Amino acid sequence: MKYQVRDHAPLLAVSSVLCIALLIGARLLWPPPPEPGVDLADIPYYQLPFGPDDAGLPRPFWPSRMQTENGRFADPAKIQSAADCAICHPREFEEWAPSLHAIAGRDTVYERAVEANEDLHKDGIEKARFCEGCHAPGEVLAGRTNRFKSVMPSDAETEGISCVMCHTATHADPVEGNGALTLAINEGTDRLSNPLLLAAPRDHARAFGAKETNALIAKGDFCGGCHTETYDTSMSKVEGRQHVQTTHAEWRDSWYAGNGVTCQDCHMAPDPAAYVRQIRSGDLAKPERYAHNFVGANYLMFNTGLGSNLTFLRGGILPGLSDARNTELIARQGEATRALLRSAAGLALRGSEVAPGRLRFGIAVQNLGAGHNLPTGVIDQKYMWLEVVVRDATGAEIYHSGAFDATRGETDPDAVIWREDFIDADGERIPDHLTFITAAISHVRTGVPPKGEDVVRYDVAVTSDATGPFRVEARLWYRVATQEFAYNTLKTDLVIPPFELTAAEFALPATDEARQ
Amino acid sequence: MDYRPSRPRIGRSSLLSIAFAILLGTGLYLEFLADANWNAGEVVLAGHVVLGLGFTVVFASWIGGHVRRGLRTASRQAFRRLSWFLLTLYVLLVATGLLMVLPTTLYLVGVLWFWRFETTGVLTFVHFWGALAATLALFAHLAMRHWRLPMARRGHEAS
Repeated sequence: MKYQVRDHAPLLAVSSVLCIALLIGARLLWPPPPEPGVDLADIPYYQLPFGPDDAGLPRPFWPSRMQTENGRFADPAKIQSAADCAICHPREFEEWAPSLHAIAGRDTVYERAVEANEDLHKDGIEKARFCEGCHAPGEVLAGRTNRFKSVMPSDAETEGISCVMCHTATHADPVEGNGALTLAINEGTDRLSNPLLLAAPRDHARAFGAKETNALIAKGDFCGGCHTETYDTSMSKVEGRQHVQTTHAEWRDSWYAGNGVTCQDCHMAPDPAAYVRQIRSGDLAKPERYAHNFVGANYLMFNTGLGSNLTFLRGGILPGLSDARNTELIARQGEATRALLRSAAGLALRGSEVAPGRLRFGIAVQNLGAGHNLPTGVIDQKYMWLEVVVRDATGAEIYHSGAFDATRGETDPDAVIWREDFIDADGERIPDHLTFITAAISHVRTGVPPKGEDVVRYDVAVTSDATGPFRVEARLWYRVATQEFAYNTLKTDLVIPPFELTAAEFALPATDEARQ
Repeated sequence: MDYRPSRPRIGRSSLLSIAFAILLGTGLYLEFLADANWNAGEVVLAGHVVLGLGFTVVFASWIGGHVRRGLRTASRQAFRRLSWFLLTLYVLLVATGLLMVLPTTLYLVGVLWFWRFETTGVLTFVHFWGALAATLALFAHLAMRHWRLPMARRGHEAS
């Protein structure tokens, strides 16, 4: 036998035994942590006014369908804050920070609406789990949505839909909606310290980048967990179940879903408006990367012209951001939001007729770029309307519908409007989003479906002194809140400004002569 | 023919053997068992990194002389090939290990940078399979003759 074998074999053998002993010792000295999360019994005074489920098990987060993977509450101290994620992922953090997802649980419009609802019922705070499940999942899953606050707050709970709320998801039910997501939030924590995590990122991937999670959060169905919303007796006075938000179903049944264009493709594209234009041109290539801005339709929360009112509306500044940086990021996202809104709609003239004493024409409101109805979401506050002005050859106004009173913040009550109305038990419209007393939902006009159009017909009387050719000016407006809501709930006289989605001018009669 | 250093037995090569065995054991633990308990796994990982760095230093100081002395006297081509293969594996192991701890090192000096996750997957894959291959190659290297048998004996063995 070679001397090298004689010399080294015992060393290798002894070292192997020593190594095994060290490993066993390490496991004995540092045992596995207990099952993560907090047991229901360990949250003092936690209220369960809705009773158990069909299997007799408690429903701690009901009426939200949000669940944790192991069925336990989240420990607020263990929920990873987005500010922590920002240490290694600053680009993603700065994309997300100005987004509506980041302020979903703290913006004043939402907060005041929840408070107004909570005051309507003795179980109001517990009923608000319905709202908070999607807007502030950390609060609900930690057990803070309770009349007795027996759980300590944490930064992560104030961050709305933060990194971990998507990156720990294991299941979504877009048909059920109302927050029907299962989050492995208790398992979703880094077990290694930052320096060693950088050497062995596999455990980080286990916590926040599991294969099934990555596959799930890339699908439109994941968004449907929250962007499908129904009311029932748990949180309203609606008998049975009634849809309030059908954004996912609108997309699912659309040309976009049929052609593999997902929610993420548009709303997470680095330049969403450019991506919508790309899709409109027929190029279905996926974005080069997915940004975390979640650019949507709420232009108000990005209107830096509102100054300190904007900070008030957004509920302050997120942990991990300076005031200046916050403003800069909001301004940038505001541009993207406005560009996206402008890419969504179009107007076209349909079936014009100039008859003696009458002008008859149709204005087609076209959904050219949105992969869901226009408008979409819960549209009792958000609404869209059409403004139409007809002028004669002298430029005199002979008809005006859909004017906006910028002083009082009121839309012409006779305007053609796309909105849903919350109706109370007495059949009266509820103008300020009081879900808990809503007994029925009706639509003034349902949203314009993707790649569809809604033709609005006008029949205008023309006085004998008016001469043609006549010109029709049409503007499509969008507004994110009613003025009643601003007065009644926000307690502010701030006029919620509308946003012009698109505008067009048409000549009547629709002949070449008239256009000149 | 026997190649044997005149220095004491417990030298750097012995230290390297001890370190290699412990690194292999802790590496296998990290690959297959650490997920179940990172409380212990973190300690093992820290030990693996520190020992790996020590191994790198000792190996770097030792391998030059070993190659010069050993490979120059080795008269068997198969042994020389195996040795170069083993050396390549060791370099690969050390290099991938160092690349994996580079972000940690930078973090400790205040610079935040890390590999793309896919890159860490490749580094881990190469490090892991390189270690297993190096283990087999090391045993072969230790056991394999590096001298050619005398002609007469070769003829005897052949008949």
